[in-house]
Amino acid sequence: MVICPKCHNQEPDGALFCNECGAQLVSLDAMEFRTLNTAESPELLTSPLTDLPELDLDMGGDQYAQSDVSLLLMDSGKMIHLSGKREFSLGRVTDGQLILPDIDLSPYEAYAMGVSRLHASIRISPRIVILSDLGSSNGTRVNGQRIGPHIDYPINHGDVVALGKLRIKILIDQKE
Amino acid sequence: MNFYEILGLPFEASFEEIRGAYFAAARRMHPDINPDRSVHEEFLKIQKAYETLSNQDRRLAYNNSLNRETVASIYAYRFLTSRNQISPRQESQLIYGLLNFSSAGEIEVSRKLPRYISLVIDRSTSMKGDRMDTVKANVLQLFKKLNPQDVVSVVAFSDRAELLLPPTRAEHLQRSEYSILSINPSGGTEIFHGLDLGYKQLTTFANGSNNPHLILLTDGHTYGDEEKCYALARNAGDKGIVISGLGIGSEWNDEFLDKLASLSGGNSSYIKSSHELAEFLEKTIGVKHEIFANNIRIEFSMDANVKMNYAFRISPQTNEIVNQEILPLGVLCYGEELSLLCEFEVEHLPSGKDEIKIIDGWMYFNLPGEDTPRRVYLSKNVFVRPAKEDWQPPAEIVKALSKLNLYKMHEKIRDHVKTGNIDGATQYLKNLATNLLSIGNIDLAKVVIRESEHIQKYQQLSQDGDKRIKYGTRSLLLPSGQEK
Repeated sequence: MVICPKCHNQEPDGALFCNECGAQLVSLDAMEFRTLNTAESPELLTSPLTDLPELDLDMGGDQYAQSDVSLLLMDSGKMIHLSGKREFSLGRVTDGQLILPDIDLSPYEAYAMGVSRLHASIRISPRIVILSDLGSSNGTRVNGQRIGPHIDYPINHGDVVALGKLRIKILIDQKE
Repeated sequence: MNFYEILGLPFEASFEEIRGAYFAAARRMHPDINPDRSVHEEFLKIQKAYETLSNQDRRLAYNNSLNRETVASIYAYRFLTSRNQISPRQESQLIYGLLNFSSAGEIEVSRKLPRYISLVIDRSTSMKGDRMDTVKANVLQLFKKLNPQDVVSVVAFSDRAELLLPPTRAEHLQRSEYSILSINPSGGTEIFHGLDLGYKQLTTFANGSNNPHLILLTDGHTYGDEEKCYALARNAGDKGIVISGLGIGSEWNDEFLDKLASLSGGNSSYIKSSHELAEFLEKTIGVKHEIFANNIRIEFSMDANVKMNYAFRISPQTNEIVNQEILPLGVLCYGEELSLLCEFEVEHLPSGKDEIKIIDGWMYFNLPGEDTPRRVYLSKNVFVRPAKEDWQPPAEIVKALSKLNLYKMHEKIRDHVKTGNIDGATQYLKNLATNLLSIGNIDLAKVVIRESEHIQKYQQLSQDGDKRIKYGTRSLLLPSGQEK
C-alpha cells in the first residue's frame, strides 16, 4: 500500500501516480523526462477561445497578494509570514555563500536539522501554493512522504513540510 | 521466413526465450488442443525451428548457413516493465508494461499496395449547411491526394444508407465527383445502416495482406443499434478492416465512437472546426505515409493471479484498447512507433512462488502483400522477492503514465457527473487543473476551470468542454503533446 502524500488516498503497491489527485508517487533521480510544454499550445485549442470568460492565470502582477502564506516552525513555535514576493527560497545562510535564500532558517537550528543552503522553494499564486525541493541533501517531505527534487508540488493549508528534520506547518489564508 | 522469424524471436535470443516461445506455441497450437489442419502445419514448422535452435551446435551451423541480409530484422520491439520484482504478499500490487514496436529499415517499394478506403458519411438533418459543405469540399480534396491505384467508395446514410460511389480507382475518379456533391441532408442518424453498407464495399478486398479502412464521419448519436454496430466492428477487426471515427461538432457520442473504432483497431478523433477536417482525414488515411504492417494484434495469456486492468495505445494514435482476449492494434506506418501502455494487477499471490508470468504470447501482424502473419514472441516474468528500497521505474513509463493519468481523471469526472456527485467532480476538475498548470498547459487548464464553474451552475458538463478535456488530455500523450 502506498499513501499519497498530497491527498492521503491509498494506492496499491507499485502505483506510480495517485489516481485521485494525480500526484506522482515515485521520485526519479534523473528528471530528464520532465519536459515542460513550452511549445505552442495543442492544436486542438488553437481556435480562438472567445467564449471563455477572462480568467487571469498569469501569475505575475500584484496577484500574489491574494493568498497569505505563513510558515509555522513546529519545534520553536515561531511564525514566518511570506510577503512582498511570489516566490521564496528557503535555506540557511553561511559565510561566503553566493546565492542567499529569501528565508534564512539558521536561527531555528537549521544546520543541526539538516537544512541545505538552498533547500526548497515556495511559489504563491492566487489559486495554488507550490513547493519544490531544490535538490537538497537531506530531502523534503510533505506530510511524511518524500517528494522528488525539482518537482512542483501543490501544497494545502495544514500540510506539514519537513526540510531535513525541520518541520514546518503551512498556513494559507486564501482571500477570494 | 527463417527459423527465428518463425518463432518470432530476435537473432540473439537466449535459450530461455527459444524454449518459452516454443512452449507458448505448443500450448496453443498442439494438435491435441487445436485440430485445425493449417494450425497443425504451422506448428510443425515451429517444431522444426525449435529442434534446430534449441541445440547449440545445430544452431551455430544454422546461423552460419543464414544469409546476412535475411537476418537483419525488419522490425524492432521492446517490452519494458515498471518493476522486475514484486513483494511476496497477498494484497494487490501494480505493474506497468510498455510495449514499443516499429519498423527498422527502409520502405520496400515492392510492398507498396493500393489503399482500400470506404467513406461513410452522415447525411442526417443536423449536418445541413456548413457542416455538409465542409465535408463535401474536404472529401473532394482528399480524392486528389490519393495514389492512382487506391480504391475508394462513398456511402451516405441517415435512417437508411445509399451507395454514392461504388469502389473506384482514384485515377478514374474525375467523373464520379458529382455524386458527392448531390448529398442532401435529411432524416435521422442510424449509423449501423451506413456502417454495414460501407463494410460490404471493403469485404471483397479484405484478405489479411492489405489494409481496408472504413472512415465514419458523423455528428450525432445513433439510436438503438449500438450493439449491432459493435458486432460489425468485431467482425471487421477479425478480417483486418480498420474502422476510424471522426466526430464533428460537439453532440456526437464519443464513448460509442471510441469503442466502435477500438474494436477494430482504429481510433476516433474530435473535429472541432471545419478546417481541421482535411488534416484529420489525411492523417487517418495516412496519405503521407506508407504502411509498414497491418492487422497488428496481440494474443497473450498470464498467470492466474495476474489481470490486465487496461491497455492504452499512446502512439501512433491515442486510445484505450478494448480489453479482450485479442487486442486489435490496427495499422502502423513507416517512421511511426506503436506504443502500448498496460496496467497489470497481481493479487492473492500464493506463497512459495518465486516468479510470476505477466505476459506470455504473441504479437501478430501482416506485412503488406503477405498473407501469412508474422509473429513476435512476447514474454515477461517478474520475480517475487522482499521489497528493495527505492526502486525506480523506467522514465519512459513514468512519463507516459503521468499524461495518461490526466486523461483518466477526465473519465472520473464524467463518472461523478453521471452519478450526480457534483462535489466529487469539482474536486477532480480542480486537481486536473492544478496538474495541467504544473505541466504548463494553461489553455487546457482554462477549459477545465471553466468547466468546474459550469458544473457548479448547471450540475453537468458542457458538451463542448467535456470533449475538449477528453481529447485535449488525450493529445498530451502524443510525443509532441499535439494531436496532429
